[in-house]
Parts: sequence; structure tokens; C-alpha cells
Amino acid sequence: MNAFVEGVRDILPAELRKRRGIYQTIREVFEANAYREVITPTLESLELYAGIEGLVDKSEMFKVVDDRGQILVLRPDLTMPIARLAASRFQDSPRPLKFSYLSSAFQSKNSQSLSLKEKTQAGVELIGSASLESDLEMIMLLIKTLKKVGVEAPLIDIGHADLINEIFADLKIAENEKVELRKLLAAKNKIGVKNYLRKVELSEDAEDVLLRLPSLFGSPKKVIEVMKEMPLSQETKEVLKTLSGLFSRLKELELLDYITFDPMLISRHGYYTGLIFKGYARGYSNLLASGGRYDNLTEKFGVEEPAVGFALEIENLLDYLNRTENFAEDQEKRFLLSYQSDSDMQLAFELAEDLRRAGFVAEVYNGANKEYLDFQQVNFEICLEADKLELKQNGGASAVIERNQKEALEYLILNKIEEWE
Amino acid sequence: MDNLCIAMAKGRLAKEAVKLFRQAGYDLPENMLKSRKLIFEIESEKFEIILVKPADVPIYVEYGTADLGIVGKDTLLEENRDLYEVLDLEYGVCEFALAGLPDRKDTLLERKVATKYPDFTRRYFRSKGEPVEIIKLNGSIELAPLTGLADTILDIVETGRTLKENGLVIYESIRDLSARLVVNKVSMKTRQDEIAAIIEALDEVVSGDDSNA
Repeated sequence: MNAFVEGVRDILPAELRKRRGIYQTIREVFEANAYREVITPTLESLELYAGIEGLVDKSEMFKVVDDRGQILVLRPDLTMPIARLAASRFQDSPRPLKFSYLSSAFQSKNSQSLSLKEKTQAGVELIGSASLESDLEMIMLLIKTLKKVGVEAPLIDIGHADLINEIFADLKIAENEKVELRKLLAAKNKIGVKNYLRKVELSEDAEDVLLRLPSLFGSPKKVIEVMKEMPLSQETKEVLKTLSGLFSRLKELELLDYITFDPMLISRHGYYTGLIFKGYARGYSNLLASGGRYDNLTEKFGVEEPAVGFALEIENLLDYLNRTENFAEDQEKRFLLSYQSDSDMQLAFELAEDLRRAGFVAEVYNGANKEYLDFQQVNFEICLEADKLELKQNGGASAVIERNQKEALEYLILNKIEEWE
Repeated sequence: MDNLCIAMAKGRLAKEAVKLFRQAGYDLPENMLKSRKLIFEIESEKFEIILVKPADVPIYVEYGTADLGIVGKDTLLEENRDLYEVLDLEYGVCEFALAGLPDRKDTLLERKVATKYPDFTRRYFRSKGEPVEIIKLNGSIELAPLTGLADTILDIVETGRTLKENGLVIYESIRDLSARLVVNKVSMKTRQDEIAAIIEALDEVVSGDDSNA
């Protein structure tokens, strides 16, 4: 039997402890910012996702057929279910709606790094607000979350979905040819753009702009300055003005050091309509988070309302933290208790419970050998004997404690451990 | 900060790449490729250069293990990875072409195409709306039409000499190819200054050659 499935994996205790730490931090930040967590079903209807351009290709979704022949999917993303919630059960609730989530998303083919079919995503959605302040709030929250989980130097790359559209609006190019040019610009493929310009006829101004775009990104101030001088359409200038506003607010908040600007930033998720942003860490070459504004997404449910959100890629975040060893891991102490006489069983369990109450991990087991102690990562062993107990550091010192009164035992044990440290 | 990691496609492209970097004023040892080492720390330039199989260059760069890569466009087209392709290095020039025996069968039915580039071939014929059977081979593609394994091959053609010596002719030129500089999408942002400097320096050498020619 081959019981292994490619692209999915077991999460074992050591990793799970780290994950729990991250989960907890993220949940605390989200909840403290009033983004209440929801859990949506693992199974969604195919219709929810079908026909949303640029979200997930139909062929990349896991499909399940239920007993009535209806096609379901394992949710490939977590934004759609929340949009569904907002448009249905929370249709009449006051806006803005603030939700957070931390769940798995499933995709059969994942072009992104760490090609897992099951990915963990944690994120927030702010639905029903189109203001600059809500865009700002998202970026602030992302920076805060990244820093809290241990990303020392987060970097948020900002773009705007309308920029590329507006720059295109002015060009007299056939729609199907625009697709190619868009791809080239998104890939910063200067060579491609150069070759492309040989095929189409454009004004000198337009050619100049297109050729400069692939290398135009980085410091928001510099990029905006360059673009201000470019012969761009009125609409493009409007978008730039909005972004300038955002950047100056970020500067006031002393967050501009974390920000870069890429006018040709394009998301894999084609549903973004305004602000787009991605979260990175200096020195790590994978995506940690992505987000943006998706004002059209709830339209599908007959309700049109603005929304903005982001998702953290937990597996990449773990990978980054593993490399930088930036885990804020609490080093809990682990005890193993054993007894020789059956009459001591009760004492062993009581003592174990006392230790647990004091915040330690404790287990009672009489058959432990060295291998078992190591596997369970036991730090201290307590052996109850007739008139004394032996306290042993796993692979280290040991001490004998007299058994006079039970109450004092825990105190004596902890005292001894402190002494050793 | 860590050294900038550059992945080069083992073989001729790497040799040219080292030459190019040297011309651009980077301090790479001239004979570095003579050894069998696969990883080189160039402390003076803060580079780490790794030599990998051509098809693996895009993978190293997409995953961010390498920040930059130098690889042929043929490999990029086949691998179809999510990368920034920033510079045409204008060497390793060749083309993708369809070739076969001189008496090409006219019929589109049951055409068999042998290639080292199955993914690109699939996309190419799909875009033309032609149904073909693709046979993936790992080398000596020219043998396929000679032995009857396939009637057409899709391969890179540089001078056309190998084809000619095996009695094959080009049916169709598909597109030009050359070596490219590719960049990891995140590194481009997180290490912008270092990477921009390299792009500029290499671009100067490449474009400079152009004006001399």
C-alpha cells in the first residue's frame, strides 16, 4: 500500500509548537484590532469560485462530488467565503465588517514556492469601506503582524491595479495585444517590451513610458517624482495622486521606511481593483503576505461593496522564521514521574497535577527508558521511592529529596531545579 | 547581509557569463570553471555563484535560493516560471525550429513531435490548434525522424549543421533564443540596489557591444 499523497504533509509536534506560537500571536493582533475570527467550511460549492477571473483556475481546484451529484470544491482561497458571508448572513449588518481567518486553502497545482497542495493562510478582510484610511489600516496591520511574529525588517511593496489599466487606456493597441504587453510589463521584461514595440505603432511618448516602466520601482518618493514628469493620462495621474496621499500618510506614521512602490505590481489574483500590496522580509526571497482592494468581488452575490484585505502565507513565514531563528518560543519544562509501590500511584498523579498547575508539562509513566525520555523531550525525571524521591535531570545532575510532607515536595523540587540553573 | 546568489547554467552559457561579468568589471577568477566545484564564494564582490543544470536555473531563482540566474530563453520557455526576465545577454543565440525529413507529410493527422521541450511544444501546438502527439526525449533528437519514432522534431537550432549532417531540414522557425538574466521577484524588491547595479553593469557591456558591431 502506498498511503502517501504528494503535496500534503503531517505536521509533527516540534513544528506544531512553533506554529501554535505564530497562530497565537497572529490571532492576538487580529482580535486586538477588532477583526473577529470566523471559520468557513472546507467544502464550498464550485459555483462560488467558478467564473471569477484570475482567482484560481478551475483545473487547479480539488473537486468533490456529493451524493446528489453536486460538484463541490475544497476551498482554494479564504476571501471568497468571507465575501459570501458578508453578502448573505451579514447583508443587513452595519458596515464596515471586520473578519479574520486562519485556515487551510487547497490547490492542486501551486506555482508558488513550497509547492504544497494544502496551505495555511491567516488574514483579515475589511468589507464596506472604500476610504484611504482603510487601505492605510491594512498596511499598518500587516506591518504590525509581521513584526509581532518575528519579521525584523518587513518590506511592503505597493502597487495599484488601475495604474496598468490606465496607462493602457491611452494606448491604441488591440485588446488581445494588450494582454501580451501587460504580461511583459508585469515580468519587468524590458527585452520583451522592446521587441513588442517593434510590432506596434505607438507615439514616441508612449514608447518612452513603456520602456522605462520595467525598471521603475523602489522608493515611493523617487518613483512618484519620475512618474509625475511622464506624459501620462489624466486618469493615471489621479491614481498617482491617491497613492501619493497614501505614502504621505505612511510617512507621517513613520512607516514609509517599510514601503516600496512598484507601479507595475500585478497580483496573481485578478480580482483586485485598487491598492495591491505584497509583504516580504529583507534577506528572504519568498512571499510572506499579499493583499489588496477587491471592490467587485461581492458583486457576484448581487451586492456591490468595497473591500480590502490581506493574507499571510504561514508556511513561508515558518520557513523564514526557521532560517532566522526568530522564534519567540517558550521553553517549557517537561517532567516524567514514576513510582515503585502501587500505594504511591495517587501521590504521583497529585504531584503531576501540581506541576501542571504551575505551568509545567508532566506525565506519569513507569516504563520509561532513556530513549523514551529523549523522544518525549523530558527535562526532569521524578522517581518516587519508599521514603524519598529522586529528582534527575535528563542526562545530568540528580538529587535526593526526603519525603516528609507532600505539600512541600513540589516546592523542594522546584527549588532544586532553580539551584541547578 | 548574505552574499547575492547567482545561478548559472552549467556549460557554455556559464563560460560566457563569467566572461561577461569580467567585462563588466566584476572580479571573478578567469579559470573558475576549470575546477569541478559547483559553488563559488566571491568575497570581493559579495557573490555566491552556483552551477546547476540549465533546466534548474529557473527553479533555483523562483524558489529564491538564487537571487539571479543566467539561462537560455529555451529553458525559460519550457519551465515557464514566475520570474523577472530583465536582460537579453545576446549570446548563446539560436532559435526554436520544427524540423524533419525533406519530404514533409502534408497531413496534420497523427503528427508525432519529438522534443526535449514537451511543455513548450504542447503550448505551441495548442495555440495553433493542431493536435499532435508529443514524445519527450532527452537527447539526440535528430534521431527521431531518422528512426521513424516521430515525423517532426522541435529543437534548438544554432547553425543547422547537425540537422544537415543528419539529412534533416527546417520546416519552420518558431522564435529566436538567447541567454537571459532572470531575477527572483522578491529579491528584486528586497535587494534592489545591488541587483540594479548588476543589471546596469551587464547592460552596458551588452549594449556597448552592439554599437561597436
